[in-house]
Amino acid sequence: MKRKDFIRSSVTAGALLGAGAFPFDAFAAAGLRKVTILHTNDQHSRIEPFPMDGGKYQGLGGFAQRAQLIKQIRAAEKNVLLLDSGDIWQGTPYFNKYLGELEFKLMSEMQYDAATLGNHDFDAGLEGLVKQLPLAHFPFLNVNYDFSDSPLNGKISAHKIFRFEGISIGVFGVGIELEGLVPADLFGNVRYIEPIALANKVAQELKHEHKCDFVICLSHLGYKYDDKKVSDVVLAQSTKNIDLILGGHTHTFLDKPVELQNSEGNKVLINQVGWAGIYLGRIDIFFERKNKAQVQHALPYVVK
Amino acid sequence: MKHKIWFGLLLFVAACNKQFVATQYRYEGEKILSDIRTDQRIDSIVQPYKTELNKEMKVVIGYADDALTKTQPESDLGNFMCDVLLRKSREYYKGQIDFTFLNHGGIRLPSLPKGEITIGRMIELMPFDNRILIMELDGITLDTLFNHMAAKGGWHVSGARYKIKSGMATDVTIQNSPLQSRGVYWVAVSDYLAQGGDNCTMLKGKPYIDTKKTLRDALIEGVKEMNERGERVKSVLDGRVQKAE
Repeated sequence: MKRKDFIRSSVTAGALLGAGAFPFDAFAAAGLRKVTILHTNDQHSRIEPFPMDGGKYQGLGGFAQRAQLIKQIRAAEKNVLLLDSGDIWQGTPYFNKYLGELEFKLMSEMQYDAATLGNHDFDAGLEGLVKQLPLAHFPFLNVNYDFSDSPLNGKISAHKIFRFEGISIGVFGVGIELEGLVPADLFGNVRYIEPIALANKVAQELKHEHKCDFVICLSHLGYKYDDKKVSDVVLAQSTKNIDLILGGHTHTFLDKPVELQNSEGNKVLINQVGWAGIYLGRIDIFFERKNKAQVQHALPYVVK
Repeated sequence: MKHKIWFGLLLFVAACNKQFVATQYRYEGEKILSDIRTDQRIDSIVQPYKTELNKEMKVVIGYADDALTKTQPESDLGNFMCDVLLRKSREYYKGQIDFTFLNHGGIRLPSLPKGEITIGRMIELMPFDNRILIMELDGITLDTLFNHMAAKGGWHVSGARYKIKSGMATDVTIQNSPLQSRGVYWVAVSDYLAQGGDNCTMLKGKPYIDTKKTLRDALIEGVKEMNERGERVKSVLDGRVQKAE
């Protein structure tokens, strides 16, 4: 309802300004801009929809179906960011036979912008992952695995900044502890580092040095645990400068993003869309130009 | 005209002192339903992979009279898998194995449907290349293990029974005898769990014998053999894992 008003007012402003000889920036200053974030997690090699066999998820999912939906959204929206939160691999015979080749090829075809590594993305071993990486035409982002002694050294980035009509969106990734979760021979010399401090550091850099307007963390930590184990909830509450955590690992189906407060009392959203590509998450973020002075305390989001 | 340009400049200066702030969001979980058309380009990339894979995966190795499901604390799917694994482990080891167990998270399908059982389905059920190890474990270690299985909501077993009370294991029996803390038992364990996977730290570093067989191959062989004997896979829930009253 309110959104409609906003669109109407920006259209009016656009029509007015478009008639005169105003610089583009002036036009943009009057409007509200939208960035559409599409996301998946724990795809688990579910290339085809679940078979029609009476199972709980029969007929759901499928890469070709998702690709079609993404194509439709791209046709309607100007600013689209497509992200994945890890565990792309493992779960159907496609992975056992082709060792991740097809998953990466199809994600590149769908124009994924970035992904993070889940524990199962180590299931082909480090050499196996290195072998398939050239097929992924998008970066893998992670800040808390030390790859320096491994064949992945130099192949994983900490973050990437995406720009849409003057809006900068910083994206980085965090991964789960591999010890006890991934067979030791598969992750070799990749060293896990506690993610909170590193996430805080990179988010600070993205927001303040790189002047990002919005910071997204791709996480494979898991949504929440009963014990003190680090999770998306813990990450959200004990860091600052992160606006949105797109999670995975726990295969949690959230009906809508969960809103929490960060260590400064600002809003952080967490979302996770189950697993196997049953859902494509879509979060439209609306940006407004505000005076810097007004931005000292981030404004609360309004759910539309 | 002059006035208009001046106004434009003002706006430009104002823009420099401003930044973009996310003020609203709207969420939609787009369910990927079967009636969504497929992307032709993706289809054409998948097709050759699919054809080649199907030749191998569609091979039927057995039949299930009932759908088996992954539940806790007890599961007919877990019972069936553990029963086959125990039988096959004894065969590989050529000796007595007292019991076996599977972590709940290690079962990778929510259910095994009724009807034909294919190789592909078995791979989905147990996609990991985990091997069966034989371990000689003392009663104290096993007491910790059963408590761990109980704390995790009930893991699946064959050759053993236990109850869960306040997240702890009680009434643990192995081969129908109560677990003896001074006893020694032979157990078939996935190498993943033996390495401490799924928090099985009590097993880490203990000696083992490697059967060099994967759990998946054991399961496939087991189902094939049942089929050759004319035996169908059936749902069995015998209360081997249950919540204590």
